[in-house]
Amino acid sequence: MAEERVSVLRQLSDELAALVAQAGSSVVRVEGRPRGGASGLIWSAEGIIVTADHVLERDEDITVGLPDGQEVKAALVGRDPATDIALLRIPATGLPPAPLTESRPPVGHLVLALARPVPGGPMATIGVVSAIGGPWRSRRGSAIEGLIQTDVTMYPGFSGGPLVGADGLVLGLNTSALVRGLSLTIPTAALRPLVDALLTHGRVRRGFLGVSVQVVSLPPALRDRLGQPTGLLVAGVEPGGPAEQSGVLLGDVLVALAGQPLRTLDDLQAALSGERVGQTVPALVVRAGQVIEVAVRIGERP
Amino acid sequence: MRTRLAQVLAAEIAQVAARARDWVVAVRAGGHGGGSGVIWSADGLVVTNHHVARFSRAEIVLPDGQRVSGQVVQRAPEHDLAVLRIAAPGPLPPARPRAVETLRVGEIALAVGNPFGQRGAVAFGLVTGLGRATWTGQQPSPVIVADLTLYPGNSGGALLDAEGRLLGLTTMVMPPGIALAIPASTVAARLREWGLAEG
Repeated sequence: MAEERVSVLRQLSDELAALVAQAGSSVVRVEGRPRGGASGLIWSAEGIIVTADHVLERDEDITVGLPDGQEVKAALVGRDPATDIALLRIPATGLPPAPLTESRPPVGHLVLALARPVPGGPMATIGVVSAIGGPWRSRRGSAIEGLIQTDVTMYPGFSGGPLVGADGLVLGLNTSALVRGLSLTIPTAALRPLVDALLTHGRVRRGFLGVSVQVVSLPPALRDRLGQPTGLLVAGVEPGGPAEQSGVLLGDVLVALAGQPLRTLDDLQAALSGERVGQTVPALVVRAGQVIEVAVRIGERP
Repeated sequence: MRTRLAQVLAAEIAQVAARARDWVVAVRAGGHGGGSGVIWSADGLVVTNHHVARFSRAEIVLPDGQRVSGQVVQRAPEHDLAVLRIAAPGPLPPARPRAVETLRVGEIALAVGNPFGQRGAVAFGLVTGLGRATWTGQQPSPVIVADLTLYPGNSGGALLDAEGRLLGLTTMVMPPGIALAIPASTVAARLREWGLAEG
């Protein structure tokens, strides 16, 4: 066969293989469930591994398989089922932490999902960024800004592995369990505070009022006075919960908490951040047509 | 708009696929469907899947449309591999195999085969992993896992690298879309054992 120049296709192939080898050195195997391994990402050289919560079906007897073939026992640092994140610690130093980027990939950006569900080499699938989500709320009170949706195939055990951009930097952590059937990635920017919270508290704390609410329009007079079109009607009060103990009543309309207006459910979730747990803050409530202030002690979401 | 690289890439993919169509054949063993096969040697050895060439004979449709009869001369169900000999009308252009040992995860992979009878259809993807699979409940055999969308009829067809070399025979599509291939090295090793290829 005639001597040929190195094709662009071959160059691309070589680059992708090199990228997988490089980024794959920070991808570990996590054994924490009976039906097969999953993946994890080396977060720090001192043995912090971030993985997906749902792949850990037990709190003990978790094994991490390092890229060099070593098998080590891991301790569970903490887990956050609401965002499907868990943190492990392994007795190791000098590990290669994954190179992270907090930049938001444009839609259409070429990405690879890396994983190591079985002993041996890494696994990789390729695709593009399909969409970047807005604030995504789970039923369990978490909100993730900029969730990355891709068309990469996530095989069993791909959860907990990284999504890697064409520059080799990690864009976030893959999970197939947040929304079944979708390949989703928790972006690095959202990952950092979750990891910090798990390192500090062993869990991600979220504020809690113990109310169920629905968005309602405010009467024109109140709308003008408060400068917001809607508030949150208290449709249920959990017995013994923080709201009841603070004197919030069924039928109240919450319009502000700790100085932040409450127009939507997202506003309430944002106001109930983890650092407010245990604090007593003023709530503005419309009760019998009057705007009154109620001191509310924010609890922690169970 | 500057799309030079994408255009070059597109042309190169088309070229790799076009060359492979010279040695990817259709295998018809009667009954439903049919599969794909690969011309292994210029003198008429064709390799395909055991589950495609289920009987002692199969009809082989050459790239130029000629139909010839193929006789199964060896099979290895543990690798889902069957070897046929055809009476070649002339020297055939064989595939250029590549050893699996040199293959890296993340390399580009293409598949050429006959999904749903569509001759020489191309799929584009990535080498996802290198592993072992058990076809017959016996000893596991090495496989290439690829991130490719394949369909019935691709079985026995070609998995190619970026330069059009034969990485393996596409064999099976797992439920979530995992394509598996028997490495060309495995095929070569069995052919040597059977005395069907030079060492």
